[in-house]
Amino acid sequence: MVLPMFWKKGKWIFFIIAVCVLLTVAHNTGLERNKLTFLEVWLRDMLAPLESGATAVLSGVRGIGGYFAGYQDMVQERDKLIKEVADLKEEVNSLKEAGLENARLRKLLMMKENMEPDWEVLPAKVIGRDTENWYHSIIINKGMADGLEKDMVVINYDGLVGRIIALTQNTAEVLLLLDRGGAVGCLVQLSRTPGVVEGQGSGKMLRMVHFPHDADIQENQIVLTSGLGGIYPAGLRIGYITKIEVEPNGLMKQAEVKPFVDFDRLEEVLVLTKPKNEVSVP
Amino acid sequence: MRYFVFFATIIISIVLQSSISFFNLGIQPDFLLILVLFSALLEGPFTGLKVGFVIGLVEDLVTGKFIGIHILTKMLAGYLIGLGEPKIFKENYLVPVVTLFIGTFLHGFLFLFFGSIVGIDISWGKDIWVRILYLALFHGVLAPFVYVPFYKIYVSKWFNKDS
Repeated sequence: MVLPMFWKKGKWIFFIIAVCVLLTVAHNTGLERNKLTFLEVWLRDMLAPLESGATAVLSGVRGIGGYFAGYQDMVQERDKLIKEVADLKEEVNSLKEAGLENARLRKLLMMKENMEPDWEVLPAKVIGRDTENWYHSIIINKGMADGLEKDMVVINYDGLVGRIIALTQNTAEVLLLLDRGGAVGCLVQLSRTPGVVEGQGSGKMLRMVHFPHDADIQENQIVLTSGLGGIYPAGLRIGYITKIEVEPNGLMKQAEVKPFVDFDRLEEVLVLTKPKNEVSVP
Repeated sequence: MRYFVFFATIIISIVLQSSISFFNLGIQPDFLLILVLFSALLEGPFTGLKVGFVIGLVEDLVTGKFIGIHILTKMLAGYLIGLGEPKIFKENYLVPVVTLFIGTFLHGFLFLFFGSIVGIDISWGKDIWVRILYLALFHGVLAPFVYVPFYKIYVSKWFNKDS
């Protein structure tokens, strides 16, 4: 080993003396000295131009520190901006939503104004849909407390939506026209050909059945409620005919009707609560 | 050639150390200490001692304060780190990292110890140890980048030429 050899040779005395000498010198050459030694002056003078040149050339490297410090600031600023962008996006989104809602409500208002001479109407919001696939119904946020009753007719700005089939104090379940149980007496607007419109159980189309083989109906003609059946008032828009075919028995015809109402996007509806004046449901 | 490169490296280290501000961390890498520690690592305690003496002397003369303190601390650090020289595999990259980390800590400790004896005003407390720890970590990170060129020069033929 090196250390024991060092000690063995007795050099430790030299070592201790050297340490003592160095400490003494260091002690006596503290911070403030009156005169530098020749060697120190020479060294400093030799290094001075080198240091000055290096400082000038490498001053750009000082930017490294600034770069990293700036990097931290940038990260913070980026995080702040990301948050701000998210907030603004949310705001834009909610404004868009408000704009769309505004447009829908305007249409609904127009519909309400159209219906108001004959009917008392109550606007309601759709708050839920049927959780099962077997029925087509929606839940609205008005119920018995608002004066709603079973079999009241529900419409929106596009036309007939359905009728109320169940009520709670604050909600009502509306059976949509799409449901097989929601058959409506109807007629073709132009030819006044009567029939019945019913849901097909699945899909988004309705079927108009039971009209005579020789009835004068064509595609794209509008189908309205006929007022027959005691629930739905006459004249409400249902949809338009897209396809006409002969029923399997060969005696009657049936037609496929595309409803005006987009049942997938129902948000606001109007409930026809009470007829006004002399209007009466047949 | 060896001596020329050695002194040139010392001058470059001093110039770099006094010219560049690294990372605004409040600590400067001690290239001269790194030179002592790597020399000791490659050649053993007596080279560590000798290199420590020369570099310490130059540093003392340049700083012009408490002359002898750097000689003492660098010599001792070089000597003690050099004691590990026969036992380690120098081509492992972890060796310079550990060497610089331990060596820097050791040097810091020696500087505080002898500095307090000769009258350097040291503000004792947690901060001073944290500062040494930061420097040791910093040297540890720098180690592979400095050691590779250092080792290549050290083993190169022209470095070992007599003339």
